[in-house]
Amino acid sequence: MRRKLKRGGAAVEFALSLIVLIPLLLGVVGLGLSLLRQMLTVQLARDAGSMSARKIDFTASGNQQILSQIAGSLSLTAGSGTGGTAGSGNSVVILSTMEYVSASVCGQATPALAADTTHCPNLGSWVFAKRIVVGNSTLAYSSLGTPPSTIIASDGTISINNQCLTKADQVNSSNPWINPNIPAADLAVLQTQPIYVSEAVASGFQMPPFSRGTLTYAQLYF
Amino acid sequence: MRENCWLPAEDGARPAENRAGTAGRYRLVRGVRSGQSGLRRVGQRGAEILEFTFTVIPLLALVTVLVDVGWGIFAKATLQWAAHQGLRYGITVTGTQAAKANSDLTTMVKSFVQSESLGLLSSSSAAACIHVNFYGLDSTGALVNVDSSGTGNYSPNLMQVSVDKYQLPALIPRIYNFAVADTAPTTISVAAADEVEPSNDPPPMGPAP
Repeated sequence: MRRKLKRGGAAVEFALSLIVLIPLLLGVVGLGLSLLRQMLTVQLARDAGSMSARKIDFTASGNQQILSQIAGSLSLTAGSGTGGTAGSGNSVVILSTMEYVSASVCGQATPALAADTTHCPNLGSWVFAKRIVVGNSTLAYSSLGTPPSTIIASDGTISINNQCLTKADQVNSSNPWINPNIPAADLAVLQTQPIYVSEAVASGFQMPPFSRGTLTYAQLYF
Repeated sequence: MRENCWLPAEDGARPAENRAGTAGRYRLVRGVRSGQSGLRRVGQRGAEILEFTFTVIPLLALVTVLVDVGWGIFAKATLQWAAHQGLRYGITVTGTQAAKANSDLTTMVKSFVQSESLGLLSSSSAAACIHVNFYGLDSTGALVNVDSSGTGNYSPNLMQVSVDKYQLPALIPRIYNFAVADTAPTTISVAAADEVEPSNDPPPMGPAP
């Protein structure tokens, strides 16, 4: 009798083990595809940043189209201009140029500003000199901060006056985007040249509850 | 300790080896650990194999899907890397390098992508998926393909290296049902783009794309 009852025991045990195995399998698949999307996000940020640092104009629709082709399955919606396409597509590329406001920069404003924080409030701060968003602008925002859209010109640039006077144009200082251990001499050199930052954000692979579509993010400096 | 075992009598006692009339009811099971019940009635012969089969087939189905998903991710990552490396190489190739190789930019980039693809693009049909395009902008900012222009590979045009619609064969057949295993290839496309480096020694563009 006991052996009769044991017939099919392995199948029952296997069915029980499937309760563990199938979620494990789906989890591995979800993780793998999420890693793939992360890799594509880094690739997109790298190519976009490299071109941006070489002055490729990403307000032009043609260049945004190239970015869209690179993004592939990340579904980057190409448009034109600086603001991106709100709500359209599954990814966004945020291109920023950051500059340091030194005394000489305050002097380049029109009219020239005295080199003190009363007349030149952003003196001694890093500010945005250019901002272009390509893709779904409502998907995510830059971790470095967002300059007011009113000070961004049609080509994405921000005037010297706004760089000196608009406090909201400052790069988010709470974000440790610059190496705090960089030697003072090197930092001084760095402060004389622009830093090009490329950020790419994409919706993650969605297969709840194994992969919840958490945003993938890449931030690269040039 | 492993030993040969006889099916025990109904009361659990080991039968005598010279017990008469037991040949049809008992069978020797070799290699069963002493003290364990590894013995089978004649009517149960093959039951374990059957159960094993029932459990292994679904397990195998899971494993094949897992392997093929991993294979696809690996292939896409590899092709993306190959396209990216081909692009980096392509935007810096000089006319001197091309003359030394007795080749042209497009051909050299395609060869480089092939060499970086870990063999995925080694066949001629797979190599046909590699494309090298050159783009510029017209006066309205719209994208213009300049492959046919003699100076399409000059700065500040953009070079795009892509692997389009590559058919990745299934590493192992996927078992979705008991009738037919799925061996359909997976279609993969990747692309990378960048500005052509300014150069006073540009290479010949070659037969793009």
